[in-house]
Amino acid sequence: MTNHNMQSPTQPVTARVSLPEAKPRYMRGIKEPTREEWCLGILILAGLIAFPFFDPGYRFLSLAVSTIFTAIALYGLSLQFGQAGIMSVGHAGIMGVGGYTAAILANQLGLGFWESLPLAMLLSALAAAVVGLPSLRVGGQHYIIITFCFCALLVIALTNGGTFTGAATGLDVGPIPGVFGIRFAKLDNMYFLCLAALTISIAVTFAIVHSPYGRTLWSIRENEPLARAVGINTNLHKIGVFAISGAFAGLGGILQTYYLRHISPELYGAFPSLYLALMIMLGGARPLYGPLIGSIIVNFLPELGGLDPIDSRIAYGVGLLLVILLLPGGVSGGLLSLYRRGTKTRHRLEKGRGLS
Amino acid sequence: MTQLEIRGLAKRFGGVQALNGIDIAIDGDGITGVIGPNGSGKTTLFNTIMGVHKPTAGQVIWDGRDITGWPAYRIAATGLVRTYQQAMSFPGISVLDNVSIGFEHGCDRAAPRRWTSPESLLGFVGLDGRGDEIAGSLSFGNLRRLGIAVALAAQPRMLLLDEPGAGLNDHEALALRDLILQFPGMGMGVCLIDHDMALMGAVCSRFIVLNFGTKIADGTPADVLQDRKVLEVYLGEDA
Amino acid sequence: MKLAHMGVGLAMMGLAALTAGKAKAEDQELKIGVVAAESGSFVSAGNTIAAAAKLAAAKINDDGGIKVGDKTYKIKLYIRDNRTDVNVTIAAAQELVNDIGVSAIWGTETHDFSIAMAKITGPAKVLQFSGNSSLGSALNTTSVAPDGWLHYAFQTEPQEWQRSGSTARGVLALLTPLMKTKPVHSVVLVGNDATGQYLSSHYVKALEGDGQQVDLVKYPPDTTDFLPILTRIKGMHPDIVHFWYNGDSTLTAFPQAEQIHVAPAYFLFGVDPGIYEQRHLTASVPVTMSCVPECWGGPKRPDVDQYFAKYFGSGASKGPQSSVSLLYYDYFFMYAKALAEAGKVDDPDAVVNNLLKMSYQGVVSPVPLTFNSNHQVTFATEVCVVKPNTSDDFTCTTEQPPAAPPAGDPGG
Repeated sequence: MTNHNMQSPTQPVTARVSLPEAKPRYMRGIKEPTREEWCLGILILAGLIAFPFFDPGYRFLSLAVSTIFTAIALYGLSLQFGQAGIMSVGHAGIMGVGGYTAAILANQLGLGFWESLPLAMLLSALAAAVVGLPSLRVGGQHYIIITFCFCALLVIALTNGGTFTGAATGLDVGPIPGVFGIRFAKLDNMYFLCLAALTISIAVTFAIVHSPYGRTLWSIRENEPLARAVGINTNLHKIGVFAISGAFAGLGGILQTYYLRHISPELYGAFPSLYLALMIMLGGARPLYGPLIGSIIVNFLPELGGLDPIDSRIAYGVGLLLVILLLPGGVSGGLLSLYRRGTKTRHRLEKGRGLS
Repeated sequence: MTQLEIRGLAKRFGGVQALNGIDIAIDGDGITGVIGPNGSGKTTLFNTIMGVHKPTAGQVIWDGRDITGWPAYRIAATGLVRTYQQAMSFPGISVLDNVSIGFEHGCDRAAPRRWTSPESLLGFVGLDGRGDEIAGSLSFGNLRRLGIAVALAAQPRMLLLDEPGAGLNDHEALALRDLILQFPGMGMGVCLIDHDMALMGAVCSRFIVLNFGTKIADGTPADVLQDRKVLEVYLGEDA
Repeated sequence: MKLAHMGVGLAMMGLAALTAGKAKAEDQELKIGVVAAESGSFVSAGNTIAAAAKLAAAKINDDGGIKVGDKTYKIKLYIRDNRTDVNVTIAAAQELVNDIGVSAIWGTETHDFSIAMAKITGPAKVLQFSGNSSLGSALNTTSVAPDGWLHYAFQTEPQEWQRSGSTARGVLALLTPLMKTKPVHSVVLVGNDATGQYLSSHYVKALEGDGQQVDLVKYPPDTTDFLPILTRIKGMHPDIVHFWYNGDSTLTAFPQAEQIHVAPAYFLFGVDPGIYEQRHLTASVPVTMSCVPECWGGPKRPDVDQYFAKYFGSGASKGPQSSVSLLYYDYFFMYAKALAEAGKVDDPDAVVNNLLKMSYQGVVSPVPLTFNSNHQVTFATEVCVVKPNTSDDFTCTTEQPPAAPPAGDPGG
């Protein structure tokens, strides 16, 4: 290695360039989860799997299904906003693209859930990429307005789409065709299907965040001009993350369509989009379980607290203020830093040196 | 030997002619300094070279290729990398991640790497052991080191450093000097802007002087600093 | 840890299997569910469903309950607030059908929610009574057939072309003699959502069928400041402006219209004369309102007044259109009768068939209530006009539904 002696500047220094060894593990693809991350993931998954067996009743199970497919869409938003730093208040519109693709395919071509699934996700990804194009030109705050407009335009287009989109009265779909004898009209099975999709979503999110691609997204979020200066085609990567985010939203959207069995344009308007933004902020955009926590809070808080919509909105407003002022990482970020502080103290005692 | 050639480069912002037909040839094996009073167009020069602004006229030829108006990321991939005077790092992520980004996206992946790992690069710039710290929490001096490390990670063949010495104390400035002096030997040409004349004098083998977007001098430090035109421009300037 | 969890889960499962399951009505309790917006933007309509349900159930129980076979059943109501949210509607329906085990559900007042609920009630053979005329877009021979998904669903609001037809005729009949020139240009102002689109599409055809030249103007459903849109309408020089959306919107928009004198006559949809009087609204021009089947407020009629006296006496609030309660009230009695005729509480198919054959003299409807083969009810519309500059001088007329849809109207 080269001589780094900074105290004697008069000494000429030559660098011996060594050939690279096997790429260091840090840069070799996806970082493996730590033991703690495995534990947490298994704990949460076990809890979610066990939930129906604790006899929550159809009402709670029903709300749980809604919570899960919403959370799936939120994972897309967490990549776009949490990792790449680009907020959108049009995410429900992208869910709508997925949902309506599925419904239109069902009504026009007779395609069922399984055949429509890849198409719904693909079209949502494309729609999200197209909606993302203005962000290459305008800054974050202005771009948010554009996403809001997209949502409104989508609702207008759907409402005036005649029999093709079902107009304001919407479209219906049949139940999900069973596989291996599993009937999805049964609520338990629908829950497990959505849970499977959620698990995949979380795993994919983890893989993205802990890969070099995750760092690329961070570079866009943290300092876009610098990212470009070191060779990153930020425009391309922004569109890319929009597309991925859209695919998640499409998955959430098609699950929602086949859960409600009847969709209409209002499901995907400005208000639902704002609620998604609210969920991601309350739950935390960056920590791995932030989207899930955000969805749980907004879907279950009024239920458990007996809050009517007015009270709920007041609660969300207050909660949002608290999060912005005190907990930038949302509830999940708060929990994470509590945990880290706990382990830091423990490790300091054990090893005499803090871990971060 | 790679060369950065600027031919008749001009840039106009509305009513202001920021660059007025600049001709320079910067060698890839030395350290060239660009000096001049505030507003003389130094940073604009860097920005126009690196594609942040499109030139109103003129060309930028790098290593034989016309890169005029190319987007910054494409230029960086060819080995021409710049640092920023402010906002020089990715503040919210760790120091190690900062450098890894350059490692992954830098140019010319086929060429042998000067550093085998981000950690060794951190050691080179003097940020040993700070890999897990969040970039935004570093001291200013260390932040500067990091900014340079981020650029180095991209495997440049020429570095454009925008006021790397600004805000550094004497001790830090010395360390910076020593660092920069190593670059040509490692195959990296340097072109830097700064107002710290001690630093510039210590590292540069050549000065280019700008005033109001025009090149008014180009030569060895000794010649340039005796040039009457330059002295007039610098009367009253802190050195 | 995971195994222990699973072990406990399996034990709970076993317990649940033993103790849960759809409750049978041997306990002489007839469980009936109500899903309505008790909060959220449709609360004014939602409140009427719950109030009507309580009133009907109380009367049935007080009169001795329902005799089915050799047992007597008392109605137990399970009222669930859907907070004007589709996820909560579904959750409520799931709870009522699967956790509680109701035999029938009344609700909702929103097209999308009613349809989504029907996907749950239908397979479970739970009867559903929804007061949405827009249900007509889904009710057809296939969907109401014994294996159809709407076989157990009933539409308790008249078909829209009927309601629109009778309303249009009534409005024009009442307004024409009161106006200086014969009205020919109508502007219909409607909230642009499922309900609004569906209703207005029929109403426009009905008006055109009656010789009106109609302009349709749509606004976002949550609009509260109508002045910009009303100014635009004023520039169209309408003879009559028809406000066609939920009562709350109408009551917000109408004073704004009067403020800038948009038209020489108005029609207010979703507003009872009773609330017009209650809020001391006045206008300098004639204003019409309509209700199905009969209005709250207006001229004195003994049977109607008696019903509303009891309705409000039971604690129901005086909302914009309390007459909506009548869309739900009578059907409790029809259901009870159909159940009694079936002789068994767990034979929903028999109940459906009995309902389809039934002719029932409702509490206020001048002609008996019947369901057609598409599970849709038919009855008249009452249309009232209030004298200008008064809040309580009403003249009302009962309009029978037209025999057929007007030109260009697909029916349904």
